[in-house]
Amino acid sequence: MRSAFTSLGHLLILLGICALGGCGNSGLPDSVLRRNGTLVVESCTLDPWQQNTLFSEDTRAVVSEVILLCLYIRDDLASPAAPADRASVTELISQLRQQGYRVQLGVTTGEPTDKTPSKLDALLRDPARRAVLVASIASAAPLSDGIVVSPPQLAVATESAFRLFLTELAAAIPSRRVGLFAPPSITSPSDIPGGDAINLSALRSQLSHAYLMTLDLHCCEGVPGPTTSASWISEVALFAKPLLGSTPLAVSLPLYGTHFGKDTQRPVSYLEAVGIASREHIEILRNEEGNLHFNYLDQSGSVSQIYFDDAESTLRMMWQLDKSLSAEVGILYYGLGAEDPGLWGELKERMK
Amino acid sequence: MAWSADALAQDPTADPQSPKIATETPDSQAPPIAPPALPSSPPALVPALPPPPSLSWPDATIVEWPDHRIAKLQCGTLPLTQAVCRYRDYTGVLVTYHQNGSAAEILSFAGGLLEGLCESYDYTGHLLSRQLFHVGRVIELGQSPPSFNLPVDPPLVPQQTPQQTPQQTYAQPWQHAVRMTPTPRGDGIAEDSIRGQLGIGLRASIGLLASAAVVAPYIGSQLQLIPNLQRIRPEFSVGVMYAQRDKYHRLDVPMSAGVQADLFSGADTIYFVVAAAAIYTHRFVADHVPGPTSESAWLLGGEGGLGLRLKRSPYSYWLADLRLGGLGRIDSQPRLLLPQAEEPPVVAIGSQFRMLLGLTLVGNLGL
Repeated sequence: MRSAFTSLGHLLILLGICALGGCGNSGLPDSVLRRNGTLVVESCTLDPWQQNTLFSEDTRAVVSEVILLCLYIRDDLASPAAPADRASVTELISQLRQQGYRVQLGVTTGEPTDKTPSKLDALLRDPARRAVLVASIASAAPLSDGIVVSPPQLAVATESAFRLFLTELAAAIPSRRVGLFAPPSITSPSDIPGGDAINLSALRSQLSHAYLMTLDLHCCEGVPGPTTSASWISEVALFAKPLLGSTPLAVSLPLYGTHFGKDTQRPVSYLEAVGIASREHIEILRNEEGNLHFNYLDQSGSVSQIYFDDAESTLRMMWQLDKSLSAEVGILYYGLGAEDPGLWGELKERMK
Repeated sequence: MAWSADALAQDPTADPQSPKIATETPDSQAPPIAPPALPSSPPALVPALPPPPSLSWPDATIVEWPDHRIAKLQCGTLPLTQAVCRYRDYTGVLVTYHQNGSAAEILSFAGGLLEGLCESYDYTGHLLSRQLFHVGRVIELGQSPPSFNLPVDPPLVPQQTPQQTPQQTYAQPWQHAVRMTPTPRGDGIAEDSIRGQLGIGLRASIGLLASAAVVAPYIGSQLQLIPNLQRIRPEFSVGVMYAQRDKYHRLDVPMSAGVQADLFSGADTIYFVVAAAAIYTHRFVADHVPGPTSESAWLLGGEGGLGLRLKRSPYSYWLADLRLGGLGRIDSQPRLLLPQAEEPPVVAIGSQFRMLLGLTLVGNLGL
């Protein structure tokens, strides 16, 4: 009796789905513009998952450049984060080049974006300490195809010191230009805390590439929400483009999600988010823009919310961006290893 | 006083208001009582009637009121309509009267025997019965007489053929006390009834489904079986319902067994309904999202409501009702939770309330 009803129910459901949404329509856009793809790895080493992803044909079809966010500034020196060392980084870059990637090394303090003041403020304002830092970065530059600076939140007063730092750094490295992770401002003065410390129009002659950090949209307002949005990205890119002139520009898409706890926020991978949903028997919802989200009662009894992306939400976002951004604007995929495993295959199939 | 011919015959003058008994025979010297309904067509004007059947039927007894109006015709102790007796050779319509002057019976004769339609009325003129006779006996419903002539026109020919001898055709008098069915009644109940034995209905429902997870429109259709009993009758339903709100899609297979109770009798009536209901439900997300996207569950509960029944034809009727019900989940499957804005997630399929407006067309099978 029950199986008969189940069969009948499934038949009717199939008919209903076909009637409502059309059979075979996945909701994915048929195609998106092919753009230069850059992938950020927040490490000097690759775990097996990351390695498999980077070495896969799907990823190589979408991504042409890898940034190893690997050089951490400690004691005025930029060096590979332990346990990696110069030799292991060299080996990794070699492997990635063999796969056809252009590899850049990223420089970071590793500080949270909302930490102020940053230790870099004082360092950059001191010419002697700045010179030491530039020299250490320059020494690592030959290992890769370029240097990308990922500054923390700097004080506005550090703007000139930062400009000098980039100028000196560009002069010290073989390519004579550096890449920059730039704050996602949409107004002048900047609407981003510390955004005015990075003067793109003044820096553009030193920049090989500007990567707009269109990430963590709801990081700082205490209101949970998607990690990014297409409309916001478009605004940021259109605002930055005239400031950068001919400097190549890329916008960022997060491969990770955000877990909004009662008082904390942390990145969450796609698999962790899906795992939490399965464990808690929570249905995952997709909002109008395509982002995934759900909430649940955590162990403390408070409501936690998780926003994250999958292949569909990323593709839908890129499809939206295609309406406002030219194909020259690249994509920076941020957070290798946290993405939907099906992302690269979908991108390869639909990127025309 | 007992209303019998024997009692009246013993002392016909005891009560001046009592009817008097006069025995009519073909050779009686008493003047014949002319049928009041045919004053202009006396039997003498009937030309060349064929001789009556040579039967040995007893003669009818006439009971008169003091004013000489006929009170009734009797066949022995039975009314003439319940036994076969001859009223002379009379052909035409005879009217008997109540004491208040209103017509009691209208009897049609041919050749002295009841032939055709006979009606009886109460004191107030309401029709009590209507029977059809042929050669003095009642014709049952559906039985066609060999030939039938309305006795209104005087020159009626008795329906007698050489092949049909009286002995072969006529039964004994006590075998003719058969009433026609259905018997008409003054209150019109028979005309107001719905015929058939089993009603099969197709119901369209629209309403609202409310639970902690969603408040959604609810629409669907059911097949109903409703035996055509009296004012309290069972109903059985099975069908498909669909609820949808945003990305919440639910397909239900509801089953119910209940009782309809009419507030008053008649084909057009208001009824109450109560029913026990079970629902097999399947919810699904019409979207591509990771994680579980569908679940099935069983719900059990009940419903009650108020409705209106309207007769459409003798074998069909409409039901329109409003039903309110509640159901709770009874299966042991893990409950899938649905995230809520600003609130903790709630069970996607749990206890629910529903309100349904239904319109059912019921057709009855059987006689």
